[in-house]
Amino acid sequence: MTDDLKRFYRAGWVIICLCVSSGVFANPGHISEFDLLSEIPTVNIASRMDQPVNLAPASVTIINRELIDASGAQNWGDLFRLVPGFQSYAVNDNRPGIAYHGFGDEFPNRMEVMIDGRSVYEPVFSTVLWGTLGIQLEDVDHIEIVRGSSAATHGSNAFLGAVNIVTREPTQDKGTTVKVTGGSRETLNSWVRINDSLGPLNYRLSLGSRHNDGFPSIPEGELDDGRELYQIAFRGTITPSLHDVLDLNFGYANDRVGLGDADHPDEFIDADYYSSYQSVEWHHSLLAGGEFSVHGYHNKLRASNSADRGLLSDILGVDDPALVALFLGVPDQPVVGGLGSLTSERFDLEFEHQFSMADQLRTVWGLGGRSEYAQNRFLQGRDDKIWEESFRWFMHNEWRPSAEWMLNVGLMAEKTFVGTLLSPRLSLSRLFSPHHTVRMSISRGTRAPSITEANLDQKLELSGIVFNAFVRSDERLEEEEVTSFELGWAGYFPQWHLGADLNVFREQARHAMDDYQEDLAVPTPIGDDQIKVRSNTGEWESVGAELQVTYRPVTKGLIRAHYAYIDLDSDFVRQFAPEIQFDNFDQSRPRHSGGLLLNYQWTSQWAAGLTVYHQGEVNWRDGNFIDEYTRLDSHITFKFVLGRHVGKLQLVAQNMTDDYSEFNEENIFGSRYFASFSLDLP
Amino acid sequence: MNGFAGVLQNMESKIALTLVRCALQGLILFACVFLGDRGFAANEVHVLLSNDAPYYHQVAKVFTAQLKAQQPATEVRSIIMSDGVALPEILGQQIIAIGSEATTEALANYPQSDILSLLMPMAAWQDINKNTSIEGRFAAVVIDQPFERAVLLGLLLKPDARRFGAVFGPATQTTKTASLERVSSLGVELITASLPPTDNPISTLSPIINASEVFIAVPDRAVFNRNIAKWILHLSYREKIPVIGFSASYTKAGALASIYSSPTDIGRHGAELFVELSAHASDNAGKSWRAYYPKYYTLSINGDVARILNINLPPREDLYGMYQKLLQAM
Repeated sequence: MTDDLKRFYRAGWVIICLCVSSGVFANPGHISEFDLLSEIPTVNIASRMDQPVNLAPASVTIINRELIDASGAQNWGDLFRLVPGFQSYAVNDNRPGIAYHGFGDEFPNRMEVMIDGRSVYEPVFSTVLWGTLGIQLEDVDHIEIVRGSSAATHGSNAFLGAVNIVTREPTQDKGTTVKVTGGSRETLNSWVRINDSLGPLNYRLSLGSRHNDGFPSIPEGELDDGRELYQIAFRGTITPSLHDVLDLNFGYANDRVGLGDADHPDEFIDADYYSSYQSVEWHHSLLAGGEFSVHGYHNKLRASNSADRGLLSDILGVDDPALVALFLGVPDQPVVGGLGSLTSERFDLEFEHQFSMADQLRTVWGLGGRSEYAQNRFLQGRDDKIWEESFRWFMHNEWRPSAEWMLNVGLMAEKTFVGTLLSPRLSLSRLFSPHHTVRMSISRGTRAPSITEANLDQKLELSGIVFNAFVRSDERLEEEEVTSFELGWAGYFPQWHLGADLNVFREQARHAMDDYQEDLAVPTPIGDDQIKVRSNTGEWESVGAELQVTYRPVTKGLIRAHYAYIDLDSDFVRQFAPEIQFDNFDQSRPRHSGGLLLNYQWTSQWAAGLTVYHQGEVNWRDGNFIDEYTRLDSHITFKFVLGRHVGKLQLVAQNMTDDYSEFNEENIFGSRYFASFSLDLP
Repeated sequence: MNGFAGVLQNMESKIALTLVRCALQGLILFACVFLGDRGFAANEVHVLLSNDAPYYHQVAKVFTAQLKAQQPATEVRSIIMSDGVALPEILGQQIIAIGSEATTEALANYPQSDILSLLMPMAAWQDINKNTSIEGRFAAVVIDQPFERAVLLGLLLKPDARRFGAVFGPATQTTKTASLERVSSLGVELITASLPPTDNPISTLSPIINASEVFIAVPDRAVFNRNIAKWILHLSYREKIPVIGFSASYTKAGALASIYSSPTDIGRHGAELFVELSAHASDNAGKSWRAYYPKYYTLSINGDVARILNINLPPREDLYGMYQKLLQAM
């Protein structure tokens, strides 16, 4: 344990003790009207404080259980198409790329994703591996999404957005529920959830498996991007007193999925991912008001994939193995491709304290420490574990000087290996009525490179000799920065049951991490004489508008629409020598995207829905040019009662119009049909 | 000439007006100095706000407007309490204290004045009456709606329900017995429990909710309300039991419906009560000076929850009408 870590733990204990003692000795006084008038908490991710969505300091989208069911979504990628400004694409059929204001990267790396507050951003891939989350869509209660930089609240990885997937609490359901889904591409998914209690422990145990064959074959070969996934998730809640809640989470997932892209179908390799997590969170509400929480968790990822590419002589097309030794200086030998063996682990501890200094002023602050490592020879060119430690301190204040005005001020300070990073945010809201708010906010986000980004050294090595070099990190790699301006309006028209949220924004990113090409000092015997260098050589500016509208013309009907217009102006250094050359990725994000969802419950048994999604033409950075497409999904649901059991049968049709391509031209998404059956066993 | 005469006339009237004004001010000064402990004239009311929060202002605004409509001659002066600022030594005979803090301060600083408190909870009224010696007359329109009104609302929305559950927190223990007595005439079975802060809320709530057909959320201290709301809503939702809450916020969070007092309801009732008490100022003191539950109420409903629970909600206007009838029949 380093001195920094020791100091962090010591400081944490002192603060917790102070908070507990202040709560114990506080005099609650008489009950007052404040007790009846105070808000019952609502969800919020934007500032770590419970706030109604229209008073949050950033644009927020909530995907709740009703919307998940109404969308007929079969996977995470389907779900995020419901959010304005998001890009959701299938790198291969079971590996989604999901990003807010992303560029079509194979590994989108600028959005933080959390499950119940636990970060699942992987330091080794610098992205989220959606197959290793350990939970399924059925485990989700709602998803909170900050559209725009949330580094001021969630730190470095929330550079362009943050997502918190809130799973269903053990007390929300009872009994056992089973669900089976089958359909196109040999899909067979199963899921069981058991809710029960054991003494003071209320728990939810869910087990799931997913199987499918991925995209269809293409003329060049079989696309081996199918999936075999098994997972288990446990969530337990103990409430020893009215003021204390202990939340326990642990889970495990084993995902066997294809790694590769359809441009090179012959290079597809099955990869096995094993992920596990353990999380403990303690909430304590103070008698004098406010509360504090302590959250500690551990994530671990192991992955392995390798493919025998044959003998070196075969690859080089040399008949006599002795010629290999003659020309390359190494004996003929088997060449093994793929990631090899990979491990990463994260330990994180965070303390948070919420309090109110006055009726109009609320504050949340906290500090956290993280220790994590990544280990992979293929990406990092070395066998040892590369450890990084980081520490963070954050504070957010919500000040409401009058009924009409609200000011939010937030700051995140992170001590990382590239220095101390500051991410502030200022947001001013004007409430024209309880239902209409105009918000103006400015924020600056900074993102430190992930462990792998800072230690890239990908090369082909045989018998200790480097034969090809692919990518390395610039030794001067620093943090990237984004400055965002936003003007938003959140309105609700109760007479029409119509809610709308519109924002216009401008995002300027500087010192963005990108790759430039560099000539190798010593040319390698095989492959290119150039290497990619990850450096702070990119910048971009996005200007646009996003709209989401929810309309309930009748209680049983739901209409939801969203639209995003984004104009991107970008450049990056393609190479420095012999002369500097710039390039851009202006087309790497669809200019227009949006969707419409209609759902109606005809009777207490029958419901039906329709979802339309449109995406403008785009040239994904790591994929291909994809023409604009419109996709039409629909579902019909029948609920029934069998004795004491409630069942549900759902038929889902995806892409009922023409086939279209996802990410790569070869990823042909045709029409797909699924049937699912679920039964509650009380 | 006419113009000069006009100017003279104007000057005369101005002088006359100034003299009258001086005389009146002198009279007021005299009244203040010599009649100070007897209070101001009956048509002057001081409204003391606990702080600058919007709901105190809203109560004060509605109270003032309502009072002006009934007694146009009455002058209403508002004072907002703030930290570190001392209250005036003399405030008058009639004080409207808005909020618990204003009430406590008014009782402490002006013990001989007549004080009408608005917006504080019934439990706070009982606490104050138990622990404070009050010299003047003291009445209140409390913020909490009586327990039986929540039960009535539950009966209206789920007419066949006969078992109602409720859990009382530490601050509302004192009102529990009275609440249960008032409900006894409604012909429903009440299943209740007490929940001290040291007890496990889920273990206490589970059997009550499981045995109930409707659950009534009883307001307590904010920290209690906040901490227990989640468990009430989770456990009742999974058992498909409707919850009747006590605020718009509760309804929004997942209660089927709520009955509560808006600042407008309290301000309106407060003004009416003030006029009534003033009209009978010479009556036997103390008879009408007591705590009143609010005459007016606001209902909020959650259509989404109703849909999930398969409860058909009448249109809002009809709901008020039906509920009022039930209330009158009680």
